[in-house]
Amino acid sequence: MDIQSKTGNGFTSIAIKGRLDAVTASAAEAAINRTIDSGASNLVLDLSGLDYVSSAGLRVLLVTAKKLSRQNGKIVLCGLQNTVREVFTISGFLSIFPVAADEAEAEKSFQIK
Amino acid sequence: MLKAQERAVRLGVLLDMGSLLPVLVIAVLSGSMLLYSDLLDYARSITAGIIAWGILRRIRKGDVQEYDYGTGKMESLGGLAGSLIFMVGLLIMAGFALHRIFYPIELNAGFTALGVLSQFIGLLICAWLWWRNLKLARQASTPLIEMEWRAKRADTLNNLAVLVGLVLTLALRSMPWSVYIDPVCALIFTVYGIGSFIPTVRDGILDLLDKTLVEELQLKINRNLAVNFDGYEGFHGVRSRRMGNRVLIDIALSFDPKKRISDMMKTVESLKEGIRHDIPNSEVNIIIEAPEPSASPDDEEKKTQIVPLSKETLPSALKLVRSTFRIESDDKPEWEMEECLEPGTHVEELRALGISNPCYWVLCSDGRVLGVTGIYINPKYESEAVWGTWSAYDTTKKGKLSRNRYRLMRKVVYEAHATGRKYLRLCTSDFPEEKEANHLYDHVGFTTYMTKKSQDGKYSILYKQAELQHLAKVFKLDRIKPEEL
Repeated sequence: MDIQSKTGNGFTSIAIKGRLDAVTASAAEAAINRTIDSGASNLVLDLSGLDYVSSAGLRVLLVTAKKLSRQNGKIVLCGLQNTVREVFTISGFLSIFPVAADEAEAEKSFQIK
Repeated sequence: MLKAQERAVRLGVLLDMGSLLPVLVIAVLSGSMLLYSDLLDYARSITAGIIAWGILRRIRKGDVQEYDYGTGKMESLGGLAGSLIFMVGLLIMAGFALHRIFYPIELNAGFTALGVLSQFIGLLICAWLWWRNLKLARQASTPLIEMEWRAKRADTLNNLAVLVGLVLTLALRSMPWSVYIDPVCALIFTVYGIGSFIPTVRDGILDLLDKTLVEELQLKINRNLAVNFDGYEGFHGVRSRRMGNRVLIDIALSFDPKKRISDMMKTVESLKEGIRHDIPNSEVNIIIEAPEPSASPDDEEKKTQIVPLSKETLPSALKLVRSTFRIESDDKPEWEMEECLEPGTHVEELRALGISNPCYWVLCSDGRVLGVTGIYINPKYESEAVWGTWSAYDTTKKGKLSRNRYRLMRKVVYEAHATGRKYLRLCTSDFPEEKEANHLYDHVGFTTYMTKKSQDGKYSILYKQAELQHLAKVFKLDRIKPEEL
């Protein structure tokens, strides 16, 4: 798994590539926490490079969503591959997270208040 | 239900034992590989049946008192042992069958016909036991009865395979290749039998290793967390494992302290109900953790510190207590605070009120007292409990109230826990101004163990307590350093 973050216009984008499962979940959580602790409260998770997400990976996103909601922040997912989208659908997580096609569309969701 | 399962297993064992001798005689006289392998199967079936019978008997008689968490592991162990014995028996039979394919022999026709008859009777008995055990397993599934119905299914198919093999061998005995029918049928049956036991062995091993649930079930848990997403404030993890036929799931959540207990319970019940519906035989335990303070405190929050009460902060702390509580004539917060600063000042007067060794701390920001709290010992219950003193918070400091309350409460728990006593006790009331504090106490696990009417009968005094071991977990004391308090 590879995680890279960059700062955008009013949001921070985190790109997760590879597999987000029980093995990589703690590393992903630590990386996301570092970004939040540095002051980011609006996150875009770019999952276009994510090949697989397990229940453990979904729980990392759940923890993040709760953490950001306490800070009046927001998390938007983008670039979901079909297999990953299916896991989100089965687990009902699409009802929790706003999903955008790509980063540009995700950015718009932060501008609309 | 256990008695019915025990009866079913015992009947299977007795029928197997009764069939063993006739099959042995016919196998020796006919020379059939299928009948020989059937003998191994009988031996396996009797052994596994006796183990299962013994375990069920112990469970039913209650001879398992030493197992705090029930007999699930014992059932798994029995199911696993029986299944492994069966698989080893099948592997041995497969070896014999292969050997017979390479070194075929012609069977004795007369005794083979007798074997056909015995197999037909065996087939009927096994099919009946298969149906009976399957019905019991559907009513109350346990690894043992699951193993038993699978064993009887395999026995039925075994009898059928042996029967077909023997009939074909007899019918086609004029053909030179008919000598292969007997061992080939035996081999097919053994491979199928081994395959049918793999799930039982796998589940038994995962259970004994306390392996977490499979991904399909984990996603079902996640779905219920998503459905109830708005009902809880923080998610702190899921732990799950199988224990026999039961599925144990622990979910750690935190709730907004301002939330009503009834709303919180609604979410907890909805979550439990949803998971129980999606995962049969599941037992869901919701662990309520203390709400986490904001992840990124602002500069002002960073400046706030909890420090011991001092002569400088005493007037403000006392003022805060007096402005927060309705102080009765026999309440002496000033004595407690003065005793804290100078031990011995009011030691006898306080002892008469049931108070000794009071310790106070204040939450300060830029020299301003935002909160006060502390602990004391009641000499009457000196060895078992620590008591919380007057705890007050500056409610005019909007926005950070929850965090300040949390920090002060955590400080009290930390100091009380360090004394090594079992309980932290508090004395509060049903005044409206104490409603929010009572919510927080109930939220972190305090229970009201005694209620008294005030002297004027206008309000109730609530005595609450919680085990410090529990509070230490709720406030995650093992993860924080003293300087972070």
